[in-house]
Amino acid sequence: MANLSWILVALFLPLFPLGIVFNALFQNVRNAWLRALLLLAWPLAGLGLLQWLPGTVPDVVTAWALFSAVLYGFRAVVVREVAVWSGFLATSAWALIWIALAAGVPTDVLILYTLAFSLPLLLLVLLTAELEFRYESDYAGVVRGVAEANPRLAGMLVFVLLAAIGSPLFPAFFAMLGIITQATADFPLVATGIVVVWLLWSWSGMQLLQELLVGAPPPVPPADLATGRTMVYVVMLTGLVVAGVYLAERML
Amino acid sequence: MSLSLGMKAQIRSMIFVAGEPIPLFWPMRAFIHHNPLHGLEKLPFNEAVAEGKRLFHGAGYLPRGVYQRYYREGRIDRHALAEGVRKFLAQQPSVEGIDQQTWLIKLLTEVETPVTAHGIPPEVDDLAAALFAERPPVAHEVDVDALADQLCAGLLKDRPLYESLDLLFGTGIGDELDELVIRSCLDFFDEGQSIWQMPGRDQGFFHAWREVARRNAWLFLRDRQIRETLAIAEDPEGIIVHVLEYLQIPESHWMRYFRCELARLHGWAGFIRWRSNARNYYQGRRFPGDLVDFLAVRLTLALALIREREQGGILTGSEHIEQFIRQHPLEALLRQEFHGKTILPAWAQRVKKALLAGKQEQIEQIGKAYLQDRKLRVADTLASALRRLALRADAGAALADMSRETLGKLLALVQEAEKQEGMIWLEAMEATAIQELLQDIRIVPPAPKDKRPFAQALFCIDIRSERLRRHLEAVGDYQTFGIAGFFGVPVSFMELGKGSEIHLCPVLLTPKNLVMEMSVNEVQGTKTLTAMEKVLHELKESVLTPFVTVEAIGLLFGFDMVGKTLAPRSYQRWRSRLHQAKPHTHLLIDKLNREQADSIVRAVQRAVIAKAVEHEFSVGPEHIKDGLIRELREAALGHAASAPLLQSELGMDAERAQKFIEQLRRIYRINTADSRLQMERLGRIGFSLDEQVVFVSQALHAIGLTGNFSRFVLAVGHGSQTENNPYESALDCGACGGNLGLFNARIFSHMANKPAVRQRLIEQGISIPYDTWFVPAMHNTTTDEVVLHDLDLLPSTHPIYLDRLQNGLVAACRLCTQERMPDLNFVADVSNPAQADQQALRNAMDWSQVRPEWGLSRNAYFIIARRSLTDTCSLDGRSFLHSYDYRVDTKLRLLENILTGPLVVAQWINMEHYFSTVDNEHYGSGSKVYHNVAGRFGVMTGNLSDLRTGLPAQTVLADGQPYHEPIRLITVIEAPVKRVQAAINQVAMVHRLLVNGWIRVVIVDPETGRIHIHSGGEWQEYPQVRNAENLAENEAMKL
Repeated sequence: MANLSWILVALFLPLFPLGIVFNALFQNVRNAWLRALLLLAWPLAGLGLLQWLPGTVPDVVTAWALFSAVLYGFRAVVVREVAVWSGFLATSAWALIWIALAAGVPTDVLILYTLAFSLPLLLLVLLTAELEFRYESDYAGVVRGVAEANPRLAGMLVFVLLAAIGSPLFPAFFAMLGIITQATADFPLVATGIVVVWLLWSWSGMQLLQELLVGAPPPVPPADLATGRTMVYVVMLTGLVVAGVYLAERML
Repeated sequence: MSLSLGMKAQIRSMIFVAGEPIPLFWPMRAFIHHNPLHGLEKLPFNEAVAEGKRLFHGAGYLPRGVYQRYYREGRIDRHALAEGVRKFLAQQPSVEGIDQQTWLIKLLTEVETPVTAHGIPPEVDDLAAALFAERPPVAHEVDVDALADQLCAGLLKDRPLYESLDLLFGTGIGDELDELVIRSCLDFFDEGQSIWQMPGRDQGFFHAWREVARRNAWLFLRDRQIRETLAIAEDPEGIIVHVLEYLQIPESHWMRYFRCELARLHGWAGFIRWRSNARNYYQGRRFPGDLVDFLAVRLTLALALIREREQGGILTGSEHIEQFIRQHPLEALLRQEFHGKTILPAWAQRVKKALLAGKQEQIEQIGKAYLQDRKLRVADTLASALRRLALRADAGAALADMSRETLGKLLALVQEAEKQEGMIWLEAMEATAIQELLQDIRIVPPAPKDKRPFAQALFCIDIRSERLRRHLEAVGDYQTFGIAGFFGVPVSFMELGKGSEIHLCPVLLTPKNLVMEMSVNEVQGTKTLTAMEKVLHELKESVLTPFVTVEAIGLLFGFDMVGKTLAPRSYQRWRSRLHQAKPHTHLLIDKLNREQADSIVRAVQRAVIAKAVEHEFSVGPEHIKDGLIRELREAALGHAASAPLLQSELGMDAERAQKFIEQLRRIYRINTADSRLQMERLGRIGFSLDEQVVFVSQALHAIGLTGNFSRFVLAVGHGSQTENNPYESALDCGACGGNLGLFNARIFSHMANKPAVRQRLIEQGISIPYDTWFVPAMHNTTTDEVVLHDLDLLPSTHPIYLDRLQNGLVAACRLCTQERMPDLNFVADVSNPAQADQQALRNAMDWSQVRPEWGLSRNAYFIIARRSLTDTCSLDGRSFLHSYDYRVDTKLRLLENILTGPLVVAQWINMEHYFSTVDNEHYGSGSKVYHNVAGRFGVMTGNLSDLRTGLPAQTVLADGQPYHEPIRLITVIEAPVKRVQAAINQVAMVHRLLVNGWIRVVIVDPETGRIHIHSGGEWQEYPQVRNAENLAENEAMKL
């Protein structure tokens, strides 16, 4: 039973190779809202299952979590589909929850961390749907020149992606900072590894943006994001920033 | 591998021919405007544009949307466009049942994007099905052989092999290779930007690179492959042959292969091509490198990268790739579409997965489905575009009833029209520009005035002179002339304090004479400041010191930055006080006779010997007597066997004395060979009296100024004044090789003021009055300021008139600035000349200003005529104006000279602007904002790119839209038709430009009042609106 609990939690707070399950599911679900729901519910289910875990997290699991985060982070570097990238980034981020858990972070803060990672990705998934609607694909490189063709959509993509990779002031930034701070005391090497993971996220994110935004736009560009809808994204992003700053003290 | 001499020569000649279409690139210190398709000028314009697209991937015409804007704004006349369409339709098979003229006019003027520009020809059945909402025809079995043929043609011809690999396997070799080649070029061709230089550069590019290739960090990972390739042969030709054979490129394709390789980095290739042929280029002679070296380096690196991928299982070798394509055409298609990023976006993920899985059956299935989907989409898009077009042409019903056969014809017509539309638009735009010009010209000149003008001014033909000339003529009694800004005097010039010569003449000429600038008074020392600047420069450029420098003296730079940014004018004024002003100078213009030259050589040798004695024997000047120096010189030159005075005065034995004499010969270069060389060099200095007479006479005859000279004749050179601008010389005088025109003005004025020259000119029918004085002046095109020079030489009778002259110039300059500044979008209050003046001054000193002036942008016309032809109209700073009076040119030599020199240079300028505007990314140099100076001779975009060869976006575009109106140079010549035709036929280069449509020529015949235009390969009489009026006016005047 104990082993089953470990496996179940490792499925929902994905550790390699169980992250495959989430990513396969995420890639096969085409509906944006379902994807958003998955991003929100999947890790929260994992957190819910934590109470079944016997004892503390062994060091080997902490190391494995870091390995998983690095692996999925690296995987994100080589993918070009924005939705697939979101899935890998999510699995990479959620694996870090294990390290926070091992460092003794209380469950309510873990929930904050999880939301900090998932909410920007949720917005990204919705924006990806906007992209797919206009370009029939979210494949960066094949879809290019978005900045010139759809400046509002491109602007939102930039900010949401920055939020997802943990840029300053967004909640994921404080979450990463919190995890690193907590881990430094007990596992200094692991803390260094987390920084590497963060670097991989930034690298992959910037690469994705570069291929997506720059380049020759289609001869007949599709309609840009409507002003109203843009404002909704702006409000949500502002909300994320405010929440991040407001909850920073609890997360750090 | 050792190649025979014949084979080596063959490789060299193949590369020479392959490099011909690559445009030359001059170092930016003397920016030369050039036609990026100069190497293709032997082809008709439209064919050259197509070839340019194939080689350099550049567009040859503006996008349709921009032409449509011009059409709406009236800059393209609707009749001219209709005429163009009519001419096009006359050459096409007719399509029954529709008004083709209306369809095409609607297509061009109302449909913003081309409807057939998918690159994939749609099938009529698919189109009909999409158009008439029928079920799409059943998908045929894919003709794999035809597909394979098509893929082989697209992938294996006209591209280097690694490009095929990149397209098929996403290997990314091309970009990596470019990066490595650029780094190698930067290392070798650097002209002082790096403190640490590449070793062994005097051995030549390939050999120096070969030596360091194994130790270069960038190449370290490919060490083994590079070493193996380099071990094959010692010389670059051997390496080239080895690589091509390894890659299985058939010998018959080698030249095309070379051309593709060169075109890939055509900026670097153009620079190397120019450099290897520039005989007088110091860096080129010291560190030789040519296209053979360049290709050897490039192919060695390419092979290393290909072999690296080969180890990862990627196919290499042309034959292997062809075999792969023929075996798996559908996979090759999907790969090409996916890695070439031309795939339909909806298919990207599916195709990627299939290719990664590598199951042939699945790939073929997806390939077929993809092909079918692509076909239907193309048909759908085209059908809706045709429907919209039909509605606009009010022919919806005609389209609905159209048979498949007619639909096929219509499709072919639209495709052909869209293929040729660039030329249709261009010709219509040119026709409008010609019409606008011709309606305002005055064919019949006014009666000559008896009174001589207060002053005459010779301006450069540059378009920026036109405004100033117009205003100067308007503010007072001034007469102006246009002449190439080097005033017909090609000269090599050595400026005071500079160690090298610059050529002050069009690049088509090589000057024979050298003029040196000499200080009149002692140069004041600014050693401390100069030393400080040198130290700062070295600290900045070194590898390690910037880390320390920023801490220690970073604040100094901050001060500099704040000053330059916030108060550029005041700061630059203050800073200029730190530097000693340039001393007053004279030019050595008159040729030295043999005695003078000999005397100079002797004086220099004596001074050197005195220093040598002082240095070698540590004796004071009191022991170095004239007799001793004379004796040593004679001995060193071999005129005497020994130097007894040396032995007696300095107390040394014969052997030591002989040794010193040998030292004088060897180390101090006191020998006959060096004396001869010095004499030869001195022989180049200055112009003989005959030469001066010829140059002045030619210049005055060419512009028709042979009498009625004013008291002042200004020779106005021009140049620009900008800060932090690598393109500075592009704004200077093109006729002076991209340098300031002042020195030529000074030289010309000096010659024309010389009494002996004037005396000889009388024999040639030019009588310059004693009170006429030629004054050199400098027109600053950024601020519109005109400054008179060499006023100290002015005769005592003239200063009293100087005030009036300067007031006139200031007034004209301010009016010129007032007219010009609104185009730069700075001045809100156009009516205030003072504000415009201040803004222009700021532009000249502001280091953040990316567009200090518009330069030669909007150039459109080249007018070879008397000023009276255009003096009643404003040419809006768009015309090169060359004064020419056919009446003094009985033998047509003057006209031929104008056609050979100024016209050709103007055509280069025009084409540079044309192509930089129509495709700034490929033929221009993109935005200045991202430019970085490379090796002190060029600019790159970002930290690593091909050398950017054309004009920056800020020079030809405004807010992303063309500011320059790209049309071919409209050349208007005022002279009898037959004579102009004869002159053009005499100048082969210009005749070729005319016949191939690189320039438009209009002849205004003042004797008949008729105008002729060269159009469609023949001369036609131009229908004139005002011609009758002009003739009537002529008759009235006669009466």
